[in-house]
Amino acid sequence: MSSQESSEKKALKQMRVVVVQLGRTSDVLQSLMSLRAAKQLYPHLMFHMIVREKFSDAAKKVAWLDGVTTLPIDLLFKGFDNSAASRKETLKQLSALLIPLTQKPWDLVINWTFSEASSFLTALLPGFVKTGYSRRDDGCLSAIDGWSHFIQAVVQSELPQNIHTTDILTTQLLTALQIHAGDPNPTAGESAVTSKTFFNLELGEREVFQNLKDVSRKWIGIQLSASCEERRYSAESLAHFSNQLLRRHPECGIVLLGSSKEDVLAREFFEHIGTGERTRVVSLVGNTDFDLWASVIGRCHWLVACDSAAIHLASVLGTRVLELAIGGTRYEETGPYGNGHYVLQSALGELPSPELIYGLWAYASSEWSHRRNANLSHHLSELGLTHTIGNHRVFRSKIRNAQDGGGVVYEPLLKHAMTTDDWMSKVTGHLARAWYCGWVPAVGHELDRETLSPSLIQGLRKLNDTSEVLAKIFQESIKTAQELSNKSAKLKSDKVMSLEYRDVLRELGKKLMELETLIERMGTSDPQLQVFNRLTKVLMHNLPGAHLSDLGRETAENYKMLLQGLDLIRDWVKHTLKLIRPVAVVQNDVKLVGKIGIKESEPL
Amino acid sequence: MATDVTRVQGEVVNNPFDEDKDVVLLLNHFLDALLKEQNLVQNEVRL
Repeated sequence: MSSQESSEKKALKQMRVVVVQLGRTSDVLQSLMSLRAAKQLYPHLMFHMIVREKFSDAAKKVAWLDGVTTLPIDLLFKGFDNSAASRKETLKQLSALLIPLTQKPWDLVINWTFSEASSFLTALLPGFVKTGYSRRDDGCLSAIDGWSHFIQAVVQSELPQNIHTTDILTTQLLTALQIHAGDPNPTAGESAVTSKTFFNLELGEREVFQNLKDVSRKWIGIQLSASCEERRYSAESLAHFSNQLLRRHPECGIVLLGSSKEDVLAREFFEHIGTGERTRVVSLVGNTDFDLWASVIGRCHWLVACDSAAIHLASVLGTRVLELAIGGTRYEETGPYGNGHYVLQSALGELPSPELIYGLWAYASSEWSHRRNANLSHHLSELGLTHTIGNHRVFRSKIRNAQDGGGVVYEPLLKHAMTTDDWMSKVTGHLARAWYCGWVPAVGHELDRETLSPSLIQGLRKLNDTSEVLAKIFQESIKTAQELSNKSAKLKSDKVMSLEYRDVLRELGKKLMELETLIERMGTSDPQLQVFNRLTKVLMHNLPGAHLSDLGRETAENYKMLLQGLDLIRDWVKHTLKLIRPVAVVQNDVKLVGKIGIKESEPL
Repeated sequence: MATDVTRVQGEVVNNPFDEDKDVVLLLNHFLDALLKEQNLVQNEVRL
């Protein structure tokens, strides 16, 4: 290392960062992906992670984390009966686990769990800066930063929005680091976050070969489990899909994956697999530890899975995914991350047929030959599968260029009418970027005129009116909050004042409460405005000020932010309504002037 | 329009485990919340 490099390294601010992730394996994997991106840009920073012992395998297998603390929660509650003695003993054990984490203050405490329990843990950790959920001095839940407000108000309320969770976490972390640790290391490369070597796996080729029997095959992994029962595709249907795939692709094999809880599903699968195809199916259900699970998925050409941790594992390892997004899976938030993954989103109350899944996989896996010049509809039509499409939707993932805002986006491959939720999902994603990234894409640049349906337009015309009313409420709220701030700033104390003054302040406070009730009603009457109602509640709950004048000023600032967001929505409405106006099909400049008695100044 | 996504928490508190009653309260709440979530997590699929 040259002396110049050495002095540059010294100049970089050292920071100790701790990430609280008490979620499941899927959450841990998404967190690791975001942390990896940060570690590449800030290699000199120290990253530590706190995870549940039960879901700690992935975190323990990365070499670039500086430390992992595992909380053996299951063990902690073994024999727990909530008696005073049992409580005392468990608290003692819990303290013993946490004390090492509290000896030295952390520079940055990041809570990526967004749960009640994790908020108490975050409050217990000493730190200079905290993001995510924590607790205030009075014990109330506090969502500390902008992205956490967004998660609480929008993501956890299940309002439509299109920013992937991994992108939210990454942006939140990188922004915090840029503010508190400075710009990234100038020598940091832009290498991909995902790779086959993401984890330090101990299994060699031999062990994997022993399990897969024939490594020369093109293995297609099928994860039988799902995050919940409603999101699981039946084992029987997966067997029918596999039959078609194996019959037409002799070079392929199927490897079944899942925990021991999926033994029943594996048996059901084998009951429906063809006799001729059975020899090319390997079941590792119930027999995979993390190493084998990751090693096998890493060697698969494709993974077919419903909403599950396997999707995130395949994304991290760079294995292509075909996700069966059924049962209301929010694929835009939790779908496969990276380029070239496919998502088949099932229509509400309908399940895609095995034939459709095969048709889609056949299209996706032969991209190299048609280079995506072949249309998916045409491909399905050639296979005689048009009738199976129904209301299902198909998307292909793509990482946007950095200049377009980055992040993953799911591009539709089949034309379908845009619903109000689809539209709102794009708009809310745009709002979040404007609020928390300071980066604003062009309004409506991802809208396709041909997909705008009459029902959407009808909804937008209503939104045009209701948003105007809400804008007036916000303006009145800003005025009232500013007045409250100005008047209370003149007070020497928030508690001692003249009766007349007290009544004035009380009236202003009452008016603000009434305006908040009106915002709530607007959200109920027009679901597209619900995002503003939810955010109002979260923002008002999280006002940091201690004095009346500060609270008034912060309230006004929050309403200004919401009004700016509302203006953005109104721009989207205007843009969309403009798109449906008739446009000239032929651009030829046909001169009719003088021929049929039209004057040049008259509009045609 | 962009807002600072982080907020400095001010002075770092001393080790919160130094016989601080607030910490005992937080620990109790943490325990209760973990217990509440435990039932949900136990039913989750491991992988």
